[in-house]
Amino acid sequence: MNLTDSRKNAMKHGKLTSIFMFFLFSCGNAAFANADFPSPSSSNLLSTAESELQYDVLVIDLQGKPVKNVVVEFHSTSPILPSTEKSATMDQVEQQFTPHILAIEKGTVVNFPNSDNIKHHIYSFSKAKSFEQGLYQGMQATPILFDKHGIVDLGCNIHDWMLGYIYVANSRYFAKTNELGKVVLSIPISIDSVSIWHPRMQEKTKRVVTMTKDSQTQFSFQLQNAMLEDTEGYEDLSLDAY
Amino acid sequence: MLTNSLFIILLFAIFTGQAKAQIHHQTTGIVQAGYVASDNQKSFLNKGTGVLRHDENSFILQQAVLQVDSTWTSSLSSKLVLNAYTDGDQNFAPSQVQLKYQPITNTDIKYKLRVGMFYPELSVENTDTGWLSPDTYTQSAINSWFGEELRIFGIEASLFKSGRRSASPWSWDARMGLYKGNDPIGTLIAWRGFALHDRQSLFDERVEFAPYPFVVSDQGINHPSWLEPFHELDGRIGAYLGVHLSYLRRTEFKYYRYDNFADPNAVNSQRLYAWRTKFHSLAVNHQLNKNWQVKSQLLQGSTLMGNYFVHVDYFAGFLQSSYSFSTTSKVTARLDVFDVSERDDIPEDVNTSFGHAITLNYQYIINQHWRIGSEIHFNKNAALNRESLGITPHQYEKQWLLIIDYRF
Repeated sequence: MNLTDSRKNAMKHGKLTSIFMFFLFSCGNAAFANADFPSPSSSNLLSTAESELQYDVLVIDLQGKPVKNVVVEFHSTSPILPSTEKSATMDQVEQQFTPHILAIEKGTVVNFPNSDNIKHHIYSFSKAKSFEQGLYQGMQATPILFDKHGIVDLGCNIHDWMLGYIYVANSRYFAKTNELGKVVLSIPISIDSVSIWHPRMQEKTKRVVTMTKDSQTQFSFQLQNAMLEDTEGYEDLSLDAY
Repeated sequence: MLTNSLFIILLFAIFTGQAKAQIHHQTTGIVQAGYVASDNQKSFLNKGTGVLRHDENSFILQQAVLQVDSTWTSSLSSKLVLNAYTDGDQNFAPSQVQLKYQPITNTDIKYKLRVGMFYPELSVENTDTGWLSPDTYTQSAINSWFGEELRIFGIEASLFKSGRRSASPWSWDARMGLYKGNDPIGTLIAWRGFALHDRQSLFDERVEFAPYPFVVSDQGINHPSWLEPFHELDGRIGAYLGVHLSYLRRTEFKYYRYDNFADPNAVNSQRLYAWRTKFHSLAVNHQLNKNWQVKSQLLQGSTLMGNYFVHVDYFAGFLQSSYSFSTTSKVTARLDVFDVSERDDIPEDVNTSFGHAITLNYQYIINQHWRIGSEIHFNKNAALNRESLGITPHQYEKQWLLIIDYRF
């Protein structure tokens, strides 16, 4: 079976299960894909439901344990219409960026509210977006447009332990892995490659690992290098401090 | 020195190219008022030998603090803390004024500078607005003393590294301060001994203590029965070093070495002396879980005045634990021990004092603005120089506070 045949088979399989896939995506997407980034809208899916394919991605670490919060992005050479009215929120809660990792589509406007009763001064030196902004109690900060694909590292100049990331995806087809290290996403166009990213990954290809297999709908990534130490403990407890 | 430091920091802010017009001011405040039931041991604030702030049953204004945090540029900010009191010498004055320069840099190790009148950040207890404690109204012996006599009039430089950015649970901060104007520090604990309260000394304030005969006599030391703790008397520059080490945000250690390098023979026209005061301070703050928090601090040091007129060693420590029943309800218990030991050979001037205290506090947060709290404090202490005033050296002091707390 050559690559073209396998793709045809996959598409045929997609047609047979398209209705099932639609319901699966509509009902189950929230469980798999994180709610803090825009998902493909139902209207878009309806119009293309017949050609949808379900993609399953699993990410495990060197020891075979699932890795959660990995951003999985699906790439295609086919044109993908961008979503309209894209906005997302990166909040400041108890002196932490919430969520720790925000995945958005390129062209998304991100709001930075401050749910704390103290001021923050957030910044980024990243190529994808370099900015700084004071966030004051009771004041609405100007939303920021993220129009360049890449990874944005966020910090706070007042609370040095605050660390957050915004992953700016090229298209609307991305998700974060759940507690089981899985992403399940139905996509109405053909996918050429899948990349994964997590801030603690130490792969040789640095921050993005890409796997390209035409017609494949099951992707299993095992990290080849140990991840950096998990410092989620920074968000577990918080001492009162100056 | 202050003017020069301020000028340097302003130049930094202007020429680093990060200065942007984003001026913002945020004002916060705390007003604590209530009722105190106290024994009749006359407070040092009223020229007695009692080590607590209150000495009669009465309605009180415990605290009135206004803090203004201003952002001038992305790198430059300031803090002004104004306090109002109905007791003591000054009724309304600043307790802290500082300008901070902290550039936004993309380096692993960052730096910050601050200049002004401020506390070294050696306390894990005084983390609330205006250097108050979020846990108790009567503060530990160590930090009550710092509130009375310690203030930096100078500049502090810090290097620090966040562990989180390098995926490490450990973060550190190393800092050094240079200052003038804290020469009389040590006077109070040498003669009165340690006290426990939340009455901070304000800018240019005078702090009273009992008129011990040998201290105030022309035939004795000839020192007034008060001090102004922030005077510069000898022209020398004092210094401190501090190291903060944190594990996640769960545990924090703070070690400080303070030495004012004062000339103990320097004396001014008011007969205030420079006291060569130096100490080690080690503090730890540990969050056991979401409910339990433990704080502790140890202080060990010495102070010397004149040609060995007064020379004492001192030690103090506290162990405090807080339990939060919920996000609105918290109980705190603290045990204090404190000791001042004589080292000089002048028998007429007795400096030995010691004691221990237990503080139990309960606070309930009603809403964003209002809290209510109650505290009992038991304090067994001895100051041998009380005999010179006809007062029994050993005293058992008690205090009960009921406080309404308003925040904005």
